[in-house]
Amino acid sequence: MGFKKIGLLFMVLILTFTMAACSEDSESTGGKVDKNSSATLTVWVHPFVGEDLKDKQKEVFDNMAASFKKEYPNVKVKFEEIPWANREQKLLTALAADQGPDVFYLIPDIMAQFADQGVLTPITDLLGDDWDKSDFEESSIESVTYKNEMYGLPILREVQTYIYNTKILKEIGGDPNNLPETWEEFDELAQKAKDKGYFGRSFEGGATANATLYPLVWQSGGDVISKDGKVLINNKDGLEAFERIQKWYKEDMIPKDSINTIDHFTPFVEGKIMAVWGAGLTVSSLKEKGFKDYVIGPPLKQEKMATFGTTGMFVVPSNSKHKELAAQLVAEMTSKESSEAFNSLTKFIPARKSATAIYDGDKDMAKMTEYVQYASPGVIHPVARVVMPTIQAELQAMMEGSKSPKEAADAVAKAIKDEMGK
Amino acid sequence: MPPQNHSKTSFSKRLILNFKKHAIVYVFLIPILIHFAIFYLYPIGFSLYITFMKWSIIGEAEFVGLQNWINIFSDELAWKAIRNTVLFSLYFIVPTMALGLALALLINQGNKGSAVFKGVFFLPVVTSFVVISAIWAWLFRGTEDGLVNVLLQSVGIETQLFLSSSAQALIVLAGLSIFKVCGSTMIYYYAGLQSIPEEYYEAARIDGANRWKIFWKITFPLLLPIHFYVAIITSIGSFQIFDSAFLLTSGGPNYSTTTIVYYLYHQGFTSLRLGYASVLAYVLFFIIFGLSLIQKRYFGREVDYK
Repeated sequence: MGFKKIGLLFMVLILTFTMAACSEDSESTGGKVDKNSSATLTVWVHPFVGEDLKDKQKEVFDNMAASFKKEYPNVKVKFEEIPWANREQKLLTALAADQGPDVFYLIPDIMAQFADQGVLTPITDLLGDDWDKSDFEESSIESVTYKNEMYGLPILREVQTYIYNTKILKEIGGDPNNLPETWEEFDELAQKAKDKGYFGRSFEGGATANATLYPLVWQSGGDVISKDGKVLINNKDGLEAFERIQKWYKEDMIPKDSINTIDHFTPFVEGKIMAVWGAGLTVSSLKEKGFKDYVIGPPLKQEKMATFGTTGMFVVPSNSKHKELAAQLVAEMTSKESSEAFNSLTKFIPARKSATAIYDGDKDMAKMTEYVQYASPGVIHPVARVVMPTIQAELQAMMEGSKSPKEAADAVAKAIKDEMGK
Repeated sequence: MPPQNHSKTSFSKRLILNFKKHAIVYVFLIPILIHFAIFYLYPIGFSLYITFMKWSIIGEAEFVGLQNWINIFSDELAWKAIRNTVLFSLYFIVPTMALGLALALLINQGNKGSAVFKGVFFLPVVTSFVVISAIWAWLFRGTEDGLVNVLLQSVGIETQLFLSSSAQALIVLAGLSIFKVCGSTMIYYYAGLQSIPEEYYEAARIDGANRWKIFWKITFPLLLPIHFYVAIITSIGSFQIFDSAFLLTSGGPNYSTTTIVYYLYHQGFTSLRLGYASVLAYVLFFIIFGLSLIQKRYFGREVDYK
């Protein structure tokens, strides 16, 4: 074979590879997917509702699949329910073995970690232009965004706040129509509750800092990690949050097992605690138990009104074999109709503005929806999830009295910095 | 007799002959060898390989040499986890053996209720760990209405925090494990007691030995192989403790119940440091291996009944 023929063959090979690469590239951008594509998409979902509503949850997901099938008749969508416990482990091992789903559910702090590790596919380009961006709350889009890339679309929002026992409120002279808005007002009421033999509030120290420390840090005007990556948790505002928790524990405003319990709902229902820290699901559980003596109060403020409330999203893993189709399925699963059906059932707040009308006739959920503007979805940083056990441990050490609030806050800040450096 | 020729050829010939002679045995061994290779050898080898890698389970692994092995020396939490595991073992091993032996002696008496007791004491062994953990959590609630606290208050002892206390949580977890495991220990000891020839006891009684002396001079020493076996399996079990720390305390409070396996799990599946988690797994292996060697050296003596 002469040089010319070899050269020609080489050129053909180069062109073939280049075209293949181009075609791959064009597949992953623009959001244009062949409507006749055929594939099976697996979606991992969790039990968002109790056992009694399981069939209804299945119906909601089946409807999403049916709706998607209208657009993509050759695509089969398979929903598989995975328990909440150890879901990260199940996901990662399945994905590592190439046996994972094409779409799964995630919350922002894990999303940042997974995105950083390359587990997720950015779907900004895969979605195309017609996914109705303006209908999503801006904050919920921020919650699914990491390093300028969207890694999912939000289906739900949540807001955590105080739910008061009205019987206790009346007994201690509180007004269900005029609930505390500041730390001082709350503490004054909690002291009255304590004087009558109740605890002021629940504090589930075994839960993540999202539901314990962070709301207080934000309320005092502080932050955990700034947007430019500075660790702020041990500054003056952050320290104030640590001190507040220590005060509550020392003064018996919160139960003694607050150090690491994960259940204060039961003692609240038993009428031992004035206010339980909860969300829409807590209200549903109270209703299920026939507990009617409650009223929802606002998130508190010291410097500013703030609280935690997650944003639930559906994401596409980086090793999905059908990324483009999966992204379109995510768009379908978070459409107005899907959001309405899903959130009506699960008692979360839709991430779409147009879907929030579902709670127009529900005064409790309407109130939650009103407070969602104050909710932050946590710390969106790759180390956010990794440092959770350290934060829990330092808070526990402080409550046990082996560390001062300053020592605990400094130790948390050091742990975050160490993790960032790894 | 002329010296035998141990050349390679003769060796391979012998090997082939040997293989032909026992071919059917090897054929039957193939499935278990394949199973062993896939589910034991490969994971052991692969986990050793990833101790030299930085790997988050997804994506490419990056070679980091001995870095993961070096990191463990400066990781305070890893040492705390090792310390907690050793402490747990101390709280767990001897009480489990003592209680198992005591229960075995009780049911070995052959009274009418022995069979019932055997069933009752064995019940926790076959009950799900999750169920027992839930019961334990209910019993040891660190509040005034926790059942154990109610009992303590009735005898004038103040409310204890139990699982919410750094000083008590590990002991409560050890108690749970003792409760769960001592039924099977009882069965091992019961089998050992049954194998001690009755004539030893008859001879001792004729010589006027009391129960206490019979126990210490006959029963206890003749159970040495059982002591050894039980010590090995309870040690291995105690060093691998995970479920109760995971279900009841999440390694807390303040890391007081963070054991090696719990820490390993956290490093692997929360921090996504599979390489470092594998190093912890090997450290655990070396500890258990060393401990087993020590136990074999001191307790693994042959016992001759005759």
